[in-house]
Amino acid sequence: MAIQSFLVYTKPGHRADVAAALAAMPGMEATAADNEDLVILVTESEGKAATQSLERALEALEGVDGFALVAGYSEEAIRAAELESVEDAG
Amino acid sequence: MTRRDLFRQFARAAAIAAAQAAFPAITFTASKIDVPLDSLTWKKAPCRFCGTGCGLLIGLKEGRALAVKGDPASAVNQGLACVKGYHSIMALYGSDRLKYAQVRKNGQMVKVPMSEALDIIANKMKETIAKHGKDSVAMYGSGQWTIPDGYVASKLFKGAIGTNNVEANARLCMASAVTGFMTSFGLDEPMGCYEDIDHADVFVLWGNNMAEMHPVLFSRMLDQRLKRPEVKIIDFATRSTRTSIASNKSILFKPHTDLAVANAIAYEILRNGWHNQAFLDRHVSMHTGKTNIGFGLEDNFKFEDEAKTIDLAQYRKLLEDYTPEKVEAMSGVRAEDIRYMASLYGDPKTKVVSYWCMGMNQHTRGTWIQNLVYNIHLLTGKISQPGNGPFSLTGQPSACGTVREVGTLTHKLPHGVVNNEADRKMAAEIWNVPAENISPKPTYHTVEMFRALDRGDIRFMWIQVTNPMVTMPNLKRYRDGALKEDRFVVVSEVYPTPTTDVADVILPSAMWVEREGMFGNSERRTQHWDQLLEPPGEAMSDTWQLIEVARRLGFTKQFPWKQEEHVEEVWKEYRRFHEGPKHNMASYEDLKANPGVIWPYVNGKETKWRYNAKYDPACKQEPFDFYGKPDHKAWIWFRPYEAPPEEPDEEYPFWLNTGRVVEHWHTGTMTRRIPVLHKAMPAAYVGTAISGGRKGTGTSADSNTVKLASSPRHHSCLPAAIDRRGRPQKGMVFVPFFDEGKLINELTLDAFCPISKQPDYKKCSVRITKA
Repeated sequence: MAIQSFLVYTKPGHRADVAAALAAMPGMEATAADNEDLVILVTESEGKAATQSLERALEALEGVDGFALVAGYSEEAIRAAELESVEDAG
Repeated sequence: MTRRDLFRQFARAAAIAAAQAAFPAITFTASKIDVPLDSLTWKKAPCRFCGTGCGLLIGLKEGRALAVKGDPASAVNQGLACVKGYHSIMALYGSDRLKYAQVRKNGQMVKVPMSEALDIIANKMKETIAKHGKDSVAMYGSGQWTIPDGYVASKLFKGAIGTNNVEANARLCMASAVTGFMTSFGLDEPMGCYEDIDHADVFVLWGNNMAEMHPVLFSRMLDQRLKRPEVKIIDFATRSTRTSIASNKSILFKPHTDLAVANAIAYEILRNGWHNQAFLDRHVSMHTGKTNIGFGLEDNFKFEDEAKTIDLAQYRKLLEDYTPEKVEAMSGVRAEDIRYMASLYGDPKTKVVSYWCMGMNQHTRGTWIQNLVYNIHLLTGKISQPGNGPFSLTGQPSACGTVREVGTLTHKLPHGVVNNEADRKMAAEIWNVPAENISPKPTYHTVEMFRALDRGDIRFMWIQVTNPMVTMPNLKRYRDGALKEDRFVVVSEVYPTPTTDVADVILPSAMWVEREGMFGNSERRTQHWDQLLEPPGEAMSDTWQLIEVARRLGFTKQFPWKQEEHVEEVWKEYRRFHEGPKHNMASYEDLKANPGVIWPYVNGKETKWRYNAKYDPACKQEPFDFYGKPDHKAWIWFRPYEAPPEEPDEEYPFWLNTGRVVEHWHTGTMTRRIPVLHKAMPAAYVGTAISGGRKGTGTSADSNTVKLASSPRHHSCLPAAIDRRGRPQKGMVFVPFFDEGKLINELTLDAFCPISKQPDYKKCSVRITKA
């Protein structure tokens, strides 16, 4: 399970539609900006194939002008952190 | 909150910060943003990493740092940040953070209370001084020390204990820049500032991969080129990098021959009459120094330069060995490219800034190459004006602020040098110690300090905020030396490193925004930040660790401050050293109120261009006053090309060049704990071109893993990266030094510039074979 965040640039007037379409997909959290054609997307996806599938979905969405990966945390990093979290709790 | 939730918040906050950088007025009100920006408290701090000194805003919530954005109020980065800056707060939360002190007992590191560790350090220092003398204890610090860290270290060792055994890793990073400035201008640090970027027409980058090493400044240059199509970027380097790709022109030179090319540019300027005779007559004197000056490879090497004055005719004559055609044969740079560079500097209508960093600094003739680039600017009078000037960039966030300005080098004091009686008296008075406490003799520069540890002349060393067991050249000798039976090494750190591996005591340090502090960046800008977070466990600031030990040594009178006020009190005391129009520093209150303030700060005004009477209140004459020299002139130095100590040969046919990558900060102690950066660049590699080596002797790096060897020192096996991100020229390989699992400095040579004593990490010879 990797966590990533993207800036999704939308065509003028499409940010709400794009955000709604993205939010309907599993593991996605999409938030449209109030005053710019931009959506913040935070995703959780399983493995490299899922990440590629996500990127294809973004490319295919009508209203998306482009997107940029901002941050990405690998499955290993999150798992290691969760283990540590359990140790901390113990 | 689980760590998993925290990663989601990091990802979300990073995206919001990036959106804000692109659209400063952007807002989000949707309920799914569960860390709404208005729920965070934003506090200013300079970035923890490079010497650019970007202003950041750190978003805080419930005692944690959750977001970072560039500070729009910072004149340095104007709201931008680079990939390291955006992820910087994650370096606070690595799972193996050092939280408690450890002491070696029966060969094992054992957790002990912090107070016990501090007692052990103080007792060991007393015992060592009693047995071996004051010069057997040493402090090795850093250009990542805060200003208060370096100041109290210098005061403790030089003032209170009475040894000049204080050095910092900035000796490995910018010592040649200091000696370059001192020999040419009599005062350290650049005359200009980053605002030059907004005015210059041409940027010449001398061995400087700014796109990766100073990405925010490079972005500002690219922005200027978009706005002003006449702007040009010239990349003059020994390998092709991302900087080369983005530049208007990329010119490659054979390693070490920048000396000859700089002389050839000066030759061409004079031959074409492009020099500014009026400027030369009024503001410049000309000199030569000693030649065949050595490389410091032997212990206890000594060198002192000797200046002889020459005139313009003699200077012209000396340059006759450097015609473009002759230099083409030495350097591989086409004569027409040399003439082109000379024409850019020589055109009176063109404003030119020269930038450099480690390429010129880490050079066995580092001081000379700085002098030679200054010569070009002095010949043309293109200096100390908006958009015109030479500019030495620093690698670390406070190499200038803490090492150069506080003077945490063996020969330095906060004002002046130890061998000057007036400077010693000033320090003794401010430090409240007897004047005779401060020794007039410098002891060991960094390489010699580690040699002294190996020899046993030094028995106790305290290392803070740096990782010499990764960064020292010819590393094996110095690691073996540190591990010798009767050596005692204290390391203050935030994570385990190869240096904590050799420690007898490890002190956990408060990191960056977990304590109050100040940094000083490349453009003479001092930047203050408040303590924003509580440090973990018993971690303590490096400043307070030193104060605690000083008191245990009996120096309470010199270190009397309350913990909650000590940074302010240290600043007020330190500032006294720099009073006056040449170096006045901002008040504590002004520093707290601003993202940063450039010194000299006189009557509430920053001095952006020194030595120019229009901007600099210290000038006593117009239009320029190079007041650092007794003759009020800047010095042109003729410096010849001299071959490096080691060059590729039949047996070792490749140049080895080492350096950094955009993802990692120096030895990776912090950035390798940031998952996204570690994943992007998990391990060191050998960067090489598809063909390489001297004809008939080299082995192309065409296997997955190759073995590099540099006799008689060591070898290392690394994955090959052929024609990838950086493409070294034919006959060269490049290896980044961030990877503690692949210690490339076991191969590098501990030769240094005899004037600056800065080692050369860019040139030694190696052999490549399939692993």
